[in-house]
Amino acid sequence: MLTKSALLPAVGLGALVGTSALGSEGTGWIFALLVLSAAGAAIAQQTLP
Amino acid sequence: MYRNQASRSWIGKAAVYSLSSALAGLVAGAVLGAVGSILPLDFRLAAGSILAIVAIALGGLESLGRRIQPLQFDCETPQRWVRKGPLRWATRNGLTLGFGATSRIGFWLWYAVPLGAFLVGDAGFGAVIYGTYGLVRGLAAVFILLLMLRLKTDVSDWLIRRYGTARILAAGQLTLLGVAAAIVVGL
Repeated sequence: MLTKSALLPAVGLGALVGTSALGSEGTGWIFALLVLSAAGAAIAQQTLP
Repeated sequence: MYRNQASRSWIGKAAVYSLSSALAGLVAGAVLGAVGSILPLDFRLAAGSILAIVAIALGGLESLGRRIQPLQFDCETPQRWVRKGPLRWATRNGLTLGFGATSRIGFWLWYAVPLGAFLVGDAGFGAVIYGTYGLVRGLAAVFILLLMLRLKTDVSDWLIRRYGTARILAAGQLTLLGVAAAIVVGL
């Protein structure tokens, strides 16, 4: 269930962030996403056996 | 008195562990960013576009339940480090986990950290990206230990049972990053 419900919001949100970033400082948005991804990866790794 | 000393010792080790982890990330990110700055912007943009497409493909496949094992050394922290003393263990373990590449990676999303730090092409920004990873990884372990002490339950076991959910959420975040980067960098 989660698999199908996670992909579409991810694509939609990514498209939204991407198009918003086109009109303003695109690099700032991508930098913020990279920082969030770094935090996300570190948190996700806590579930590793 | 003894209890206070034990508590202080525990806090000291946790602080050393978290700081080592953050330091490893900061240094790795600064080095990657500095090396990336040598490359021309056009090259970094082209590489970023290709990697964004790869991120969308990997994130999409993982989100749909197709399990793709990430490239990794899959090494656990050597047990012999425990015998080097608690502070040395905390330092080495923190440095290793904050760097991440030589330990178990587990998620494709991790690759966004070193590649992002490299392609951003700036030592400071690279340090912030990778340093965030190191700091969060170091603090998360301390937070889990604190929770285990407070709740008197095995939180790590609970987390391990959430591996499947973490995998899907990490894949979603990778897809999000890939789509946004493809639009910004590719268009």
